[in-house]
Amino acid sequence: MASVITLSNDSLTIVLNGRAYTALAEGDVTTLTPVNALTNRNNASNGGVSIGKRFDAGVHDMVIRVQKFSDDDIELNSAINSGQPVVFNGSIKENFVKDGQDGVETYELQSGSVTTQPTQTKNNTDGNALMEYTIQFRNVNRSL
Amino acid sequence: MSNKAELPAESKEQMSQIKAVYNDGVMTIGGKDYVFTKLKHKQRRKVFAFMSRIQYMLKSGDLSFLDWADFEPVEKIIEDSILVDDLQVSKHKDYWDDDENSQHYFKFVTMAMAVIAYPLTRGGSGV
Repeated sequence: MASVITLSNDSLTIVLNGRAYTALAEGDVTTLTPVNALTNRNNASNGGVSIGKRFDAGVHDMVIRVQKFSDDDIELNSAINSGQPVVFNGSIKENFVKDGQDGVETYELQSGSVTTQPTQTKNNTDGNALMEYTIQFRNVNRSL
Repeated sequence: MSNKAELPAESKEQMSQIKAVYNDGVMTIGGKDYVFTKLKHKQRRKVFAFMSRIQYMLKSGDLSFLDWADFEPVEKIIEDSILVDDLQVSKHKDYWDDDENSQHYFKFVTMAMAVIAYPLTRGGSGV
């Protein structure tokens, strides 16, 4: 029997270094992109293949979009201005309801640092109300 | 001159409980763990300022402040910064509409305010 899964449109909790982020931009709030493939493959003749799991498969780029000038923007901007690289650890959690049962999707984020710095465009017509920060994490684990 | 800007919970036992929760970062109410996340000074200050207004109301059992418009930004700070079941309280849909949770609402609010404001009260008024 097919499962019925419902999601709320604002059920995301992002915590980095013990701080909950609350000034998230509308629309795409955050994007988690694996940097590397999960496995290495070496093909051989006669249909042979060697498959190995990459040790750096867990590296992810996280783009977080926050409201410009918000406390979240200030916090991330201070990480960029810090004399020492700021190491981020945290989690992204989202709840859902599956067949009437509550569930939580969790991404554990380990050993991250800001990599791509945010670009800035000043627009005199459409406005520009968000800041995008890219944090690369050494390891990201997803659990359900 | 006494320090008028004190938390409502003045007894030693209550203060030590608040301090313990602040140090642990977790308060357990109704069998659920509520985890405190970090807050900025301005957020704590807002909560502390509100608490200073209502301390006498709490002592006299007047809870009408819960329905004040001024309480809503304080409640938002609390519910955005405290996690339960791994999510912010504010992200749980209709969390306090659940009978099991609603019975603990008052204790949750008063304890949360006291713990959030605790760092601002440790130094006293200095007078």
